[in-house]
Amino acid sequence: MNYGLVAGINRNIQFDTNRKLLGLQEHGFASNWTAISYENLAYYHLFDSDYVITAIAIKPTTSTIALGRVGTHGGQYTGDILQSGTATIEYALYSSDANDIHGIPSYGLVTYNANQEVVFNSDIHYLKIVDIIDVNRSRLLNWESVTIEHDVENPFYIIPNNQAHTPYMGWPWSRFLSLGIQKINATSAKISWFPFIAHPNAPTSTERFAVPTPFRIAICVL
Amino acid sequence: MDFGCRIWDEDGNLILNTADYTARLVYSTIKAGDSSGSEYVAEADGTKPFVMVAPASTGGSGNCLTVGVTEWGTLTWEPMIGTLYDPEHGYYEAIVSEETLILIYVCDEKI
Repeated sequence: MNYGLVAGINRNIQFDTNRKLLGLQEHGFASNWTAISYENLAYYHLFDSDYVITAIAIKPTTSTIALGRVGTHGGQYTGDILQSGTATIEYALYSSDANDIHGIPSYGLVTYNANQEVVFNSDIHYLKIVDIIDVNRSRLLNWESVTIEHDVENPFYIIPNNQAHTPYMGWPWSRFLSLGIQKINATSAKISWFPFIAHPNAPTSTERFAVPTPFRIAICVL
Repeated sequence: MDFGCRIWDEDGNLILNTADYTARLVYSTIKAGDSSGSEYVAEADGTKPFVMVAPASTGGSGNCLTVGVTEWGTLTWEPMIGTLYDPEHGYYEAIVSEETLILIYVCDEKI
């Protein structure tokens, strides 16, 4: 299709009648945290929405490591922010169902596809990804931290769901860890592991990683 | 402005600017929680793809498959191993991921 669409200055399609956009459903600040049992190694802020949470973008702080996780708590449309401390975290929840949920504004622009479904609604902030960074997965699996840099200042980050389980590293109990992000400054951040569960009974015979291949982080703005 | 479209909401906030890259859904599928594999998604080849996941069914653990997509459109997925408990066996390792909705969005599909 080369008509009936809106394109950006670099000829990138911004919306058309063929592809669904990912719309912002909730933007806020997470300040209520629940400690995870056993050693209080980490804390979570649970979302329990009435729509499908497709992506959780967060703005990390300089004091803690954090990530947004889709699912993980069971139920229907859940997700959480997991972090190594209790800092207030700014977040944005996106849903692929946003166009079906939002009302039609009295002023602005709404476009429809051939099935009378909304494909663009100026009342919705759609996800804008300014960069995607491919993080060196081998270094992550070697328990190293990786620093990433980007042009945009103070963005949101979407980190893929991930975890590791290890019996090693000098701890008496096996531990579950996750890769999260910590702000360094406005244009750089560090990806590193942090433990979130120490379990006295959960066995693991070896290090187990659930880390996507490749491990890519989206840099986003509202 | 030489080219493109700017759109504001009813409060005067700029919702779409000419330099924005939106995320557009090009592929969705549901995979079983104990499955693994890879496939090529042509629409995600060289178009800045990013993959997202969500539980596809209700009432379970909410754990999703571990899923990635390369810059050139190869989607891979594998089950997540975790720890379960039952009174007979105690704690044991098992697949904990469940049926997963996989969505590939792209940011730079050209006209």
